[in-house]
Amino acid sequence: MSSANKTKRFVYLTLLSAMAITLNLIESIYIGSFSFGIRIGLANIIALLTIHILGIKEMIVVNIMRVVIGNLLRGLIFGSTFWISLGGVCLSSIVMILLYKMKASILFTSICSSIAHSVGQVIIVMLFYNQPAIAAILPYLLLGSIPMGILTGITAKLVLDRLKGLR
Amino acid sequence: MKKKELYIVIGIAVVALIAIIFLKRPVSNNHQPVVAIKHKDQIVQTFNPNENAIYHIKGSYGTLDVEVQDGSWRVINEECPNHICHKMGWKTVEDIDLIICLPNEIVIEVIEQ
Repeated sequence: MSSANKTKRFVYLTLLSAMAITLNLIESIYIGSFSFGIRIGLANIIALLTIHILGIKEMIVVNIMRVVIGNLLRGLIFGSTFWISLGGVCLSSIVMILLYKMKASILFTSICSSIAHSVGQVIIVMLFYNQPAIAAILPYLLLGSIPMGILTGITAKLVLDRLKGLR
Repeated sequence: MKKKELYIVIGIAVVALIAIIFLKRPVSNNHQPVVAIKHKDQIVQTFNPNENAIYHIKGSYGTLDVEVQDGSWRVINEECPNHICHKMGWKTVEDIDLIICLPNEIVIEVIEQ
């Protein structure tokens, strides 16, 4: 890989991380969550874009950066919300990588990673905070994840169609 | 989106809907609710909110009475500086918040729905 190409990728990685962090902050401050803690997950758009533009490793970097720096800027680092969102992001990244390897469509990847994000959060609360009753919220989260996943998936597809030829 | 993927998504939605209906089903409850009055983590009195009564409780600061009437309860005749427990008013089994008297170290809490 030439030096110029490397720099280009690095700049893209930085830009995408910055966008993910900004969307994460905007969502948590101005939109918040609907009933049962259902959120849109705008930062998931950036994760979908990154895995298609740059690759798997970069997507993991963007996701981790989003959680760590997003929580750092909100002053919630290493608090309970940090660990819960880290659990969600880990599971959603794993699912996204698997579906990317299986060449699934963007919309399906988005829906599945959104579902995995909710499931990961619930697992963290169940196992590490000893609250198994939280599993009762899972059906509502699953049902809410599907429209939100479709929303982020359509957005990611629209952006990707306009960003062809970057790889 | 491919057809197979659409079926998987619809399948997840159906499973979630079934789970919600299963969770929402009315639970037959024959047993009576139990409310406990606690003093410093120790249960000093339990009562059934459907039986009208007045319980005289001794706290760390003074005494207080818990009046139970028609499924709800409140604190009356309390000997404490702030009277917050009295201002909480009537509570029922459905209420999420507890009546707490900090000077007396008394908590009135539903322990069995």
